[in-house]
Amino acid sequence: MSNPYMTPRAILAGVLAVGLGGFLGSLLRVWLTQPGDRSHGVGFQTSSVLHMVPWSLLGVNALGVALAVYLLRRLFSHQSFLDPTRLFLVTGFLGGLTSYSGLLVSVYAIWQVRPSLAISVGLGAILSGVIAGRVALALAGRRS
Amino acid sequence: MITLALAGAGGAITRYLIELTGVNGKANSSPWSTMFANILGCFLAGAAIHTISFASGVELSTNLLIGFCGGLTTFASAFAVPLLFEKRDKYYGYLLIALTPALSAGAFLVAITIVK
Repeated sequence: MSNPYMTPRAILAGVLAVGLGGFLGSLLRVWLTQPGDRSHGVGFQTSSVLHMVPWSLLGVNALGVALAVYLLRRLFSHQSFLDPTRLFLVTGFLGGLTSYSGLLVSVYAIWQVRPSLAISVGLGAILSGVIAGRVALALAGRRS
Repeated sequence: MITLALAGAGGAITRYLIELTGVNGKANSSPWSTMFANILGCFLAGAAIHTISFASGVELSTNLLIGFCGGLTTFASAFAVPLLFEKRDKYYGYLLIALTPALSAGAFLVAITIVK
């Protein structure tokens, strides 16, 4: 660790910022995606195709991408990765709020029942992430 | 819920420590280290999935799966950082965006196969 930015104090501050942000982001994700849990769940209690889609997780992931793009472009374009506020908001909070593993578990669960829907959900998640990011990029404007 | 969030915080800190290994002289993190954290998190989720009953009607939730792996993996940075690349690196950014789900899904399936 010869990088001049990576002092033990900076790393520890980062651990605290990411830990707090990750806790709050995870708490919000669990709260938003748990109820009646079809988002992370495998136990589909309905045969309706629409009810198998993890809408809340897809929405949270797309929103997280949009917020991360906006914040990184508008607020943190000149801040380093080790900036504590950036670590708290982007690495911690938005990192905890959004989840790749949760999405894969949902897609895998849907695959057991309806493979074509699982592929659609997976591709839809990627597409919605790109679209949300591009919209946020347009809203954030040029680098300040 | 608090336990899940604490596990998520642990996952986020682990991802941060992985990303620190990719920090360059200008204190910017490499998107490859974020990708590695996502692949690792999905591998662990795949390994954990068969410790859980898959019977119909059973809710799939463990602290490891939803909490730690959820915090270790990130959808936001995996898309946001490559989308913010300069115009000349646009295709490199889209390559990263495409590679992350492909490799993460691969790791997830490999873990399921190994644990099975």
